[in-house]
Amino acid sequence: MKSENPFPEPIWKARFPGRLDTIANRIAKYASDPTVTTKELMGNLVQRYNLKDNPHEWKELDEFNNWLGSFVSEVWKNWEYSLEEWEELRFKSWVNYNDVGSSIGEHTHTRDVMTIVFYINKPSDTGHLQLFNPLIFHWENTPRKDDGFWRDIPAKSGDVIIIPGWMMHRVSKNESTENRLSITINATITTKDNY
Amino acid sequence: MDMKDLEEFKVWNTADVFPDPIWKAKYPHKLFRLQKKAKEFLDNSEFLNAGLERDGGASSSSDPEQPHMWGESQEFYEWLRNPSEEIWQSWNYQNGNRRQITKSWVNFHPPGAWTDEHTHGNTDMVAVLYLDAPTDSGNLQVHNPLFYHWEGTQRIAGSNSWTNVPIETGDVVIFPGWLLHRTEKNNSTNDRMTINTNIAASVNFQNIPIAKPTPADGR
Repeated sequence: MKSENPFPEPIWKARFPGRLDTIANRIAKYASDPTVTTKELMGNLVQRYNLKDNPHEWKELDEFNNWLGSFVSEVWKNWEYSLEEWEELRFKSWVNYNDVGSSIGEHTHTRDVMTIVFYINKPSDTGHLQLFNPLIFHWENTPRKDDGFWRDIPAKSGDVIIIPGWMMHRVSKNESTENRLSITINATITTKDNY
Repeated sequence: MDMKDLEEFKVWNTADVFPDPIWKAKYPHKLFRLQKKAKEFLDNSEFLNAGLERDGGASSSSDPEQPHMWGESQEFYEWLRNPSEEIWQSWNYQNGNRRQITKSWVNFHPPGAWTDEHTHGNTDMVAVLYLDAPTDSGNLQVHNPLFYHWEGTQRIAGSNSWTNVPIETGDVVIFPGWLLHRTEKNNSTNDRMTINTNIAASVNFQNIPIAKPTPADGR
C-alpha cells in the first residue's frame, strides 16, 4: 500500500547551491552593529534584527533571493493561497545566533503566512528545527506508542526550510561546540500603501 | 516554466515527517465471487437504510449480517491483515495485535446517488473496498483536517478543502475514522458498490463496581 496526500504539503526543504561565506561575513558584522536590536529569547537564543536593515535585503543575499523566488511561488501555489488586488506580501527577517547550549522554545509566527529558515552555519549536533504534529487532537483518539508529537527536520548549512506561520515549532538544544547561525524570513499579507 | 526551472524545482521536496492518514492499494485478487455475493445480499436484505446515502443510495449498515462474516470475503480480509498492520504501525498506534473488525457493511449507489459527509467517530481505522466503481461513478472525497489552519489565509477561488481521491474497481483505501469524507455523485449509468470495514483495537474494559451505600450515606 502507498500513502497518498491529496492536501497541501505544509513542510518544504531544499539546499541553496550558492556561496554562504559572504553571507556569514555579513552576519558577523551585523552582530556588532549598534543599530541592531538584540534580544535574548527563551532558551538563551540571541535574536538580532533591524527593521530598517532586514537581512533578506542585503546585497549578499541577492543570489539567494533569485534562487528562492520561484520556489516560494511554487509553495504558495501548493498551499492554494491568494492575494486580493489591494494586498501584497511584505517580508521581514532577522538572524538567530544559537550559541552553544542554547535552544528555542515552542512558538508559532502568528499572522505570518510563511516562514523561511535559511541555515548559514549548521554543523551536526547544533540542534534541529522541530515541528509539532498539527493533527495531534485527531491522532490522540487512539492509544499511541510513547513517541510524542515532535519531529526533527534534519538540516545542514545551506538548507532552506519553508513552513506556514501557523505551524508550532522549536529548536532543540545546541549540543555542539560551535554556534549555529540562521536567517529567518517571514512573509505577511498587508494592504498596499496606496489603498 | 522551462526545463531549467523544472530541474531546479526537483531540489525542493516536501519534508513530510508526520504519519500519512490516507493509504491506497489495488486488491490483487479477483472480485467476481464477492461482487455476486454482495449483490445477492443487497437484493435480499430487509435492513437497508438511507442513513447518509442520498438520491437513491442504500447502506446495509443496520443489517446484523455483515460482509466480513461471508466465506466469499475471507480472501479479502486475509489480504487486508498485513497492510492494516503496516499502516497501524505507521500511525504509531498501540495494540496492533488486538485489532478487530468492529463492523462491516455494503454501500450501494445507483446512478445519481452519493454518500453525504461524515466521519466514523472513534473507529481507529476504516478500510473501503471498491467492489464496483465504473468510470464516472464518483470519487471518494476527503476534507483537509488542517482546514482551520489553512483557512487563516485567503485561498484561491474554488478551494474549499475537499479533495478527490480517485478510485477504480478493486481499489482499497484506508484512513483513520476521524477523517471527514463523502463521495461524489455517481454520474455513470452503472451502479457503484463498496464494502466498508471499521477496525479498532479491543481494550480490556472493566466494569464500574456497583456502589454499596454505607451507613454514612443516610439512605
